[in-house]
Amino acid sequence: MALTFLGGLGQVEVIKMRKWIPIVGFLSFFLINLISGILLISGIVPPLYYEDPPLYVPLTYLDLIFLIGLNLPSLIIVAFAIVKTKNSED
Amino acid sequence: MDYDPLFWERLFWLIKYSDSINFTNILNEVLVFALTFMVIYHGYKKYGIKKIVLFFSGGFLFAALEENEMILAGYDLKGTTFMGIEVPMTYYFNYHGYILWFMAVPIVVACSWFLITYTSVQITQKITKRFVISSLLGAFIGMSMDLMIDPIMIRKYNWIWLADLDQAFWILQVPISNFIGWFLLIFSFNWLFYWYHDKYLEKRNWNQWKSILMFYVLMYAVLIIVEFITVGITLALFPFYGIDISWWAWPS
Repeated sequence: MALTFLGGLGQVEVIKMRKWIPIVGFLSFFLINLISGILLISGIVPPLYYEDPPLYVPLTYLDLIFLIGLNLPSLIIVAFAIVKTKNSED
Repeated sequence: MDYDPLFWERLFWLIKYSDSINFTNILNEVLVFALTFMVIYHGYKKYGIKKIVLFFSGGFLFAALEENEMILAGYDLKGTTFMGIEVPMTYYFNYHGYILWFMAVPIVVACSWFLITYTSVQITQKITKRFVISSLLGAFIGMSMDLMIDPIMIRKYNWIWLADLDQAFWILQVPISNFIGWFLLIFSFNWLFYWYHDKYLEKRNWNQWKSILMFYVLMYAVLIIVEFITVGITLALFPFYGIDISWWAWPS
């Protein structure tokens, strides 16, 4: 009986966590690309190709902040969705 | 920077170059595939296996076909003129930048497209249940993310835009047609799926194979329409060609 109870509890937890998957997926993908930018700026991951003169002005941390700034409206929408998800069943 | 010298010869290779199998690419592709599987699991639990397979396969094909069409059209029309004006070249993905490929498009890019399309509308459906508005909002947040991804990836040379400054209207050194296309594709695919879901998949008024086949036919029709609209809007922006809205100096 105890096992059934614990099993049931686990299932409830999984269902509760499942509702977060789209938000976690979206923000994780955002983060992967942001980290790609940081690795590129820091030189840990170099560009795949070099041309002299270079095709583009190299990326800086300030550029990255501006690019995140362009995403502020959509991040606000995601923040609203997080609040709604917190209070929803699924 | 021109197309890969073996662009055409290796078009149908699953792995284009062995040097693409490196730590960074493996990590990137494993992470995106893991997120894709996680999201498919969510769809499986919420909609059932048939519908999420339909969404994933449809989304994957939608993205892969559209990107392949754009890349191959650019490659085929390279150097040609139409009514005395040189047809602008499109773009291509760097064969060294990704491991697994579906023709000229990295498989991870098509998976990313599915990931953004599915999650963005699942997120906006938390805010509003009206599917036209949630699809529009979803398309907006999906396109916004691309505003960040594209300037980073072109500096990594993961993909390369080939048109000259005076052949397009640019935002952040990326043709505006890219963002219009992203917005329209995410909106139209989500709108089609959820409309079709409510009208046919949920009510089961058709047999299984007929409803699946019809979805793919409609999806392809929508894809063609979206491509025409994107090209139309891009051509209508002709007076703005040569302008780049960005804080970066245009490459010399």
